[in-house]
Amino acid sequence: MKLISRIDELILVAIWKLGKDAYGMAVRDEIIRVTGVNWLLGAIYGPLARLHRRGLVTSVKGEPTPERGGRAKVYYELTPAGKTALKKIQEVSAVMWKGARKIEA
Amino acid sequence: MTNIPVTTKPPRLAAWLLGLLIDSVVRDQAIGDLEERFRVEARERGLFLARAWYGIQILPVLKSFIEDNVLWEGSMFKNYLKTGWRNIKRQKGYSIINIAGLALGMACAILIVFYVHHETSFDRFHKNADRISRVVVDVKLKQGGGVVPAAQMAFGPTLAKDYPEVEAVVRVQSQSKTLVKYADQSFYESGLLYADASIFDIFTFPLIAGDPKTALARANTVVLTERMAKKYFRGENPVGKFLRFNDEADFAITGVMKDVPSNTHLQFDILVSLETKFVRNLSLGQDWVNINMPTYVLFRDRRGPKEIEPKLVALVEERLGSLLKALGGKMKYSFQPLAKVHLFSHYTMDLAPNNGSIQYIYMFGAIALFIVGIACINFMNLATARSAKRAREIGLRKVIGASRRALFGQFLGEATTHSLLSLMVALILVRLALPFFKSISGIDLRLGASQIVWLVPLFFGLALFVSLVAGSYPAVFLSALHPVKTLKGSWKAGPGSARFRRVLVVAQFFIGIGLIIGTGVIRRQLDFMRNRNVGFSTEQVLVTRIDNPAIVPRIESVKARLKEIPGVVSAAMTMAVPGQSTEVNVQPFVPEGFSESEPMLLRQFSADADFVPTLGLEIVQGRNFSKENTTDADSAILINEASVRKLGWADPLGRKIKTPTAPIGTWKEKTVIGVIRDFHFLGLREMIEPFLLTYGTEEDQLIIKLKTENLRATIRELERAWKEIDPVRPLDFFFLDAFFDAQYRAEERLSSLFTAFSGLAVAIACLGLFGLASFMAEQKAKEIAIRKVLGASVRGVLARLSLEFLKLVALATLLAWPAAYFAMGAWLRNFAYRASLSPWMFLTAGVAALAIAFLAVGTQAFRAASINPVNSLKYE
Repeated sequence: MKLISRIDELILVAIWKLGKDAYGMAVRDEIIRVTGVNWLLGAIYGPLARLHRRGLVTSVKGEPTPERGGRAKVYYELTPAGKTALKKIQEVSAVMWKGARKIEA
Repeated sequence: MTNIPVTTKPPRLAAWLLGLLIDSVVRDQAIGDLEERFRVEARERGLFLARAWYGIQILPVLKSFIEDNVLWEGSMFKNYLKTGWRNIKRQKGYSIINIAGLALGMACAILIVFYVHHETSFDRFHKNADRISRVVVDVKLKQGGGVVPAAQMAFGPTLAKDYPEVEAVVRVQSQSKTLVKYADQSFYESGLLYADASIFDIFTFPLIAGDPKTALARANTVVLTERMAKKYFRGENPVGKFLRFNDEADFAITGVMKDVPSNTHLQFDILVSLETKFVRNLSLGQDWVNINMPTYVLFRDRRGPKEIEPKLVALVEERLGSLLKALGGKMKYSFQPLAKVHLFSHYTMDLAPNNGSIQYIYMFGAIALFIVGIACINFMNLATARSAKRAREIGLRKVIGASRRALFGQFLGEATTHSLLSLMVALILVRLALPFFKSISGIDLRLGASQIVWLVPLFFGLALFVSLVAGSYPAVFLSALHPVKTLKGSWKAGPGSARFRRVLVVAQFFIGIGLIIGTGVIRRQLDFMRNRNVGFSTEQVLVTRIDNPAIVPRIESVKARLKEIPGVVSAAMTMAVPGQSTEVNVQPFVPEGFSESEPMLLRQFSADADFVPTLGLEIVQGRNFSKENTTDADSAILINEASVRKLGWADPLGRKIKTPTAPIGTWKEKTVIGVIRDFHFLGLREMIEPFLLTYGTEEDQLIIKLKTENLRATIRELERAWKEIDPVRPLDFFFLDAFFDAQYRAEERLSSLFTAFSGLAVAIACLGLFGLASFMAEQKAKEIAIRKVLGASVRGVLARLSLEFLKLVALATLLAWPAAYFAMGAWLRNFAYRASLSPWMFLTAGVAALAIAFLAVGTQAFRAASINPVNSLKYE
């Protein structure tokens, strides 16, 4: 199976960490909090749509609210395939780093 | 912190873009998320920054859209071009039909655009064009009146002096042919124009030499165009030199200007200072009576004409109130925008006699669209008819994952390839057709760098338009094919597409036949105008101006001298010849039974006793003027039948008519001595109007009737005799028939353009029919073979195949008849005297279309019908 990209990884981890609260904006805020890089809000949806199509995440619709212009929040959670992919990339990272010298920055 | 109401929405354009471009899976939540956060931003940082924030947030969506779609499409585009090109090469016959048809259509359209552009560009090159107007005077008298594009001599300066809305005014007046002499060379020049010095302030006529402020300020000064400067002075600098006019007066050259462009109604070669006229006639500048000076006004701003018109009512009252009251009339000044002069005015007394017509611009615009439409229909029909051949390819593409949109793009792309190829061919055709185009339209196109600016977008716009029109239907149709059916081989084009094709063929021939009928009607009207008995004979009549006033008193001896030449039949002196509408005065007359306070406006001109026999006019009652009868010159008058009808006189002979004499308001009584049969003095566009002919002893034109034989020798003799009569001015003449026919030049042009375009339209339509027929013959090869095996004759098969198309052409004919009948009927109403619409024209057009269509279809059908059935069936 092909490895997922770093951006996909970041998103999947964020969804995993957020649990029940993982909707688009929350995912972005989490990534910004961890990485410190200011992602534009629009940048999150392209990768989310891709993950959705590849079956790595599923979505659940919430209640529509007026401040969202009558649109529902959509919450994401990992599918089994998503979990497998995330686990795999985690393992690959760990294996890669094993035995490597520490980087002094 | 303010509360943000729910009605506050994110920037509309950005939200719309987002909705359009984002992946549909996440569209709703993304819009929702952004809107929610937008409110938070708005509360914290204000609405303005929040809007900016929103705009920035959607940038990545844009970026990924471009990456996902455009780049991908780009690489697919190469593939489309490749398959498109392969298809063109594989189907050479169809491709040639398509490209030839489209190229012909485009070439026509490009030429028509050139023509329309030239016509609509008239007088727009002046820098202040939008602030310049021409003065138009509307005179209403109890018995008629008229609208004249001119004003009185004194009007212009008054306007410039007393009205703050006006920046400058120029009066111009054209001058009849003048003998211009420099050193040892002299020529007759017809392009003389008197003008105020302000002409250069108002119009954009750049000077190459001389000062525009002062060039025409003094009397007896002239400005030459570059062309004239070259003609008389070759390399020398003409400024400061003198030209001699009519061997009388010397004019100092004060400037040289660039040649006048062809797209202005003010055409001239030599500008003469109007001041010259005032030096000769001191009271001329105060003239408030004669309305004969074309006057142009430069306003300070565009609202000028509107603001000033009401104020001029008072001016009319002040200057002309008493005169108008005496005549029982009204007069009103109005202003015509400069840009409208060429296309929107047809005054009988205009500086430019051959103004264009907006009606013809619309007509040709429509023809251009029609012809391109016919060519596009060919493309559509052939593309959908051949869809069976492409069905496999489409099915396969769909199976591999092509979306409908991608296929749509592919077929549009193919149409674009075709239209670009056609454009190249069309440009070559245009280049080849330019001289021909120039000869029939009279437009000399100079294509320079300044034209490229609009030509290149025009060409590509045309190609794009054609590919959209021609490509969209096939694209919709072909991209909708069902992949499984096409690959199984069970797919056949449904009856729907065939029906649509038939409708399109009918539309093509409807247009083509309509144009043929139009051509027929225009030609018929033209022939009618040329051949109708106009009431006089224009043939072998030569006209020359008498420029030397010294000749006039001894005109009888001059005429006698000319008649000594064996080829000369007769000669007469006259004020006007047929077709010269500007030479004929409209004046108030008081016929018997009318009162002086209510005069009648009638056309009048004067000529001597030889005029009637020389032109072959017919006297139906009474007698012609007589040289022997000494009272004729003073008191005789001839009228035409129309006058008799208008005046309601049962016995016109001996009736009295008071004619105006100076000063205004005084009259001289004359007696009607004869009635002339009605004649078409002004051509057949105009109704025959009441005419008065008075005996003239001081006129400025000489007409000479010649015998048909030895015309050349006679003219040589005439020239020799003229040298004795006037040693200075060589004989300068024109033939009356050519001059009289020249007023139909617009119709002549229309006729040749219509002939060319209708021929092309039908040719393109037949090209398409030929393609469709050959395709059908190919598709029905097996059916035909089986029919023949079962005993069908070649003739039977031929009839069966041809009829299918001929039915459509016949239907188109039936539809085109009423449409052409109404359209051409409306056109004919432009003419006071018109040819009838003959049913033969309609019948001929229909039969001709059927015959040509049969030729196109029949050859294909015959080939299909005569194939040995074995060849079509042996593979089953």
